Amino acid sequence: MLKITVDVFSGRPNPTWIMDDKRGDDLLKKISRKKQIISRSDKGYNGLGFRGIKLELLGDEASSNKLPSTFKIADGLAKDQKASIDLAREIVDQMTRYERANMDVFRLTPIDKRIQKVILGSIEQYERDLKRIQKYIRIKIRWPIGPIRVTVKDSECKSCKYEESRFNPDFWNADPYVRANNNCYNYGRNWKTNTFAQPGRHSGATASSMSCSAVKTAAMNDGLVERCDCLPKSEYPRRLMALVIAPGIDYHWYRKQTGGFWGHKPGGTAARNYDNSGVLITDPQTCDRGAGTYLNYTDFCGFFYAGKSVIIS
Amino acid sequence: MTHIKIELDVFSGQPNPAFEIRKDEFESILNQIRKQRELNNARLFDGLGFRGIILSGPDLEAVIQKHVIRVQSSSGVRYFESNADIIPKAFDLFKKHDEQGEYQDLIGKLTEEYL
Repeated sequence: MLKITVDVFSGRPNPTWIMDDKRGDDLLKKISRKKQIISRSDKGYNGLGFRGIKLELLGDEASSNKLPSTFKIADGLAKDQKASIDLAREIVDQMTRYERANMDVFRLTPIDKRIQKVILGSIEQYERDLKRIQKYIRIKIRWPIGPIRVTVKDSECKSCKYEESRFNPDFWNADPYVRANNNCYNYGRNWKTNTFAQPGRHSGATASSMSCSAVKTAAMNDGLVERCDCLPKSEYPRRLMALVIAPGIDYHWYRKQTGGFWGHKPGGTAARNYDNSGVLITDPQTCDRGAGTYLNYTDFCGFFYAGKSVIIS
Repeated sequence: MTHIKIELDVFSGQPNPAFEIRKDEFESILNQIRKQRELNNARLFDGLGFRGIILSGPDLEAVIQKHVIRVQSSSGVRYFESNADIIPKAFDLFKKHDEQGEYQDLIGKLTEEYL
C-alpha cells in the first residue's frame, strides 16, 4: 500500500490518497528502476505552490523494492528533474480513481477532477519556474542554519557590535492574523505587536511626513540610533535595520539576518528575504525596491541599531 | 455587524487606505469576477508597491490585480482572469468612498500606471 500526498496547498490540507491496488505496486517497481527521480531529504522546495509529491510505504512487503519507506519526487532535488516531474503528472492523472475511498481529509480536500486540474496547473507552473526554484534551494542549503542569534562586529564601524538573527519567516507568515497585523517596522525591530506598528507611535509622535528626516526622527524617538553610534551589551539583542522611503508616500524597513542577507515584510504580506526581482537581498541600498514603478522606495535613509530598549507600538 | 470593505493594498509601513462599502457594491464586482475565465493557478504580485485592490466581506476576500484575481473563501482559493473593466470599476468604487479626496493623487498615479 502506498500513501500519496501532493504538497501544494498552503491553507487547506494537501490532497492525499492511498494506492492499495496493483497500480501502487507497479508504480513502486517503476520508481525502483529509476532511483534518480527520487529525493530522500526534506530540503527540497518549500515555497508557495507545488512542492513535490511525498510517497510513503504503508506495508513492509513494498520495501523489497529497496526504496526508502518515505521519499519525495519533483521537489527540485532529484537528479533527473524532468523524469521526476513527468512521473508526478502520471501519479496525479490517476488520482480520481481513488475518490471512492472514504478518507477524512476528503471533506476539506476531495481528490476530484477540480482539484486534479488545480494540481496539474501548479505542476505546469512549477516546471516553468524550475530554474528559479533550484537556485532558491541551492541558496537555502548553502546558508548555514546555525545558531538563532549571532553577535557580529560591524565592519562599517570602528568598534560596534550587533546581533544578527536566523531568518524565520514562518513566525510571521504561518498565522494569517499575524501576517496581516504586523508590518515592516514590526519585522525590522523583530517585535510582533499585532498593531501594525508605526515609528514614533509609542513615543507620542508619528512621522509628520513620509520623508527620510521625519520617519528617522520618529523611529529615533522610539529609541533607534544611527549606525556606528554603538549600543552597549546591555542593549542585547541589538538589530541592524535599514530604512527606505517612497518620498511623500510610504516607508519600509529591512533587518539583517545571519547568512549574509536581509529580511523584510512589505506591509501585511509575507516576510521574505528577496526583493521585487526575486533576488536574495544582500544590500538594501541596491536591491530592487519597486524600480520602474510609481511606488518606488527610491530614497535610502540609512542604517540603524535597535536595542532591547526600543519599544514600538 | 459584518464589515465589508475595499482596500488599496499599497503600503508597507503605513496601514493601507480602506473604506467600508455596501453589500450591493461588493456583490456587483464579485458577480462580474465570477463570470471571468477561471485559471488553474496563478501567481499574484506581493512585493513592494501596488499589490491590487482587496474587497473583503463575510467569508470572502477578492484580490484584484491587473491580470489576475484571487478569490479566497472557506471553500478554498480560486483564480480568475482579470479584464479591462473590473479593475477600473474597483478603482472607481474606492474613489467614490474617498469623500475627502485624501487619496486622490495616489489613485491618479496608480490608475495612470496600472490601466
